[in-house]
Amino acid sequence: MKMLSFSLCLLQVCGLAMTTSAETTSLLPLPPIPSEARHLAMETAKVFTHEGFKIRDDEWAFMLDKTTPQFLQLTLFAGNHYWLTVASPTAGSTLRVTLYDAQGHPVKGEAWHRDDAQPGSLAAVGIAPQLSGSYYVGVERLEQSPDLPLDCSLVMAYK
Amino acid sequence: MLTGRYFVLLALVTLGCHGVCAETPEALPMTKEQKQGALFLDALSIPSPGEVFAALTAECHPNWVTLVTPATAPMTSDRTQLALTLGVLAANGYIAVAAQDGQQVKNVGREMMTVAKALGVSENLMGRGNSLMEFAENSAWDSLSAELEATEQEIRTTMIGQKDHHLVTLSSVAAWLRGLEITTQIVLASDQLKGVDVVREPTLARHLASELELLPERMNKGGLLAKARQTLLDSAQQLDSMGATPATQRAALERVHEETANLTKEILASSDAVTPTVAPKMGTTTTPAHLAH
Repeated sequence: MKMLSFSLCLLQVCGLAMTTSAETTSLLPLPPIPSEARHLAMETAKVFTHEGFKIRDDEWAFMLDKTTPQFLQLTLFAGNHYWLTVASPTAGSTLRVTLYDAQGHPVKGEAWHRDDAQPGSLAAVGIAPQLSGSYYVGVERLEQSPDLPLDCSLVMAYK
Repeated sequence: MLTGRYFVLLALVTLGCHGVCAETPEALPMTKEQKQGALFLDALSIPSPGEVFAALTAECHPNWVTLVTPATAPMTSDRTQLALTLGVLAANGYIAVAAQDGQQVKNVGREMMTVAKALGVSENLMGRGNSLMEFAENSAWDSLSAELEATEQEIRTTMIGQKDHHLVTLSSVAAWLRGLEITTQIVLASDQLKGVDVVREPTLARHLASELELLPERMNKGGLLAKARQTLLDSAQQLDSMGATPATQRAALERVHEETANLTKEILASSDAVTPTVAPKMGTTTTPAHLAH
């Protein structure tokens, strides 16, 4: 998908030679409005761009209840360094993001979290894998309240 | 108000990053059910060619300029082939960016425009072009890369909105296979096979093969869908069983490179130039002659 979007971007590079932006802008569909969770996650991940990380523009959007952790498969490469950032706009929740190897064992990484609860809840984990391969990222809630499921977004940065 | 809020947030985050870093709290291993239930999200679970190229750049510093390959879109009306072509060209675009070859980026873009028009998706591809053109012409590679990344979500949403999930899958597969062709070439160019650990990732190839199996049989009209699936399975097998010695690893990488390169050629071949073959049915697994013994 990333490659597809890249290809489509390249199309725009050439397509511009044939159309003016004034002509095309009015025909464009409005881009989707990002969720508050995504906005928070992207804003948080921007911290890592100061250290040369590139943020993948895609997100994992999901609802997280207080008892059931959520897991996503990833393929990570030796030689790269990654930060996985999860955010929820709901104040007062404590999130934990954990990376697991292909066997499901937790991988020790650099953990990051913010203690204050406003305006939302954030957590991140960093890893520089020694082996390319499949990994899992898990997100869970460590607090007992609030009861309602949280609207969460996870974004990934790499360099 | 909103700006100020996020300025404060950014400041807190920055402080937090440098002041609250700690070791990961203990977490329990995943259960079997959790592993089986883990989501596979194409948007994040499939890495981009740029991601694996970045890893290889860090590992073995390839000369990307020598890897830039001019390619033209095939003359065909087969939507499967066109979608696969889009993926190949996209991977070529990443290579051109890595090589910082502005002219090649534009050339690749022109070819993609041809393909996108044939697929009927070009009318939705407007928006960020001015800055992309400017970045390419001014060799602002970091900005170009970031701008490209920023359009992903928008483009995927557009494709899904057009109910073209299959095209997205095909393009992703082709880009991954083209990436595999290039990365194995890079590793094979090293006497010590530097970067072999980056390339050695069979699981994703198997997963992509399983995704192709779910596509409708009608998309295998020209046989390319089945060939792509078979190439993924063969590559996964080679990467999985390449062993630990340089000789076995080199032999496995050579086979992966050969198969992926052959598939790329077939994808880019115009329909009337492709040697007629009996299209293998989806869901069947064949062993190529050179792997049979």
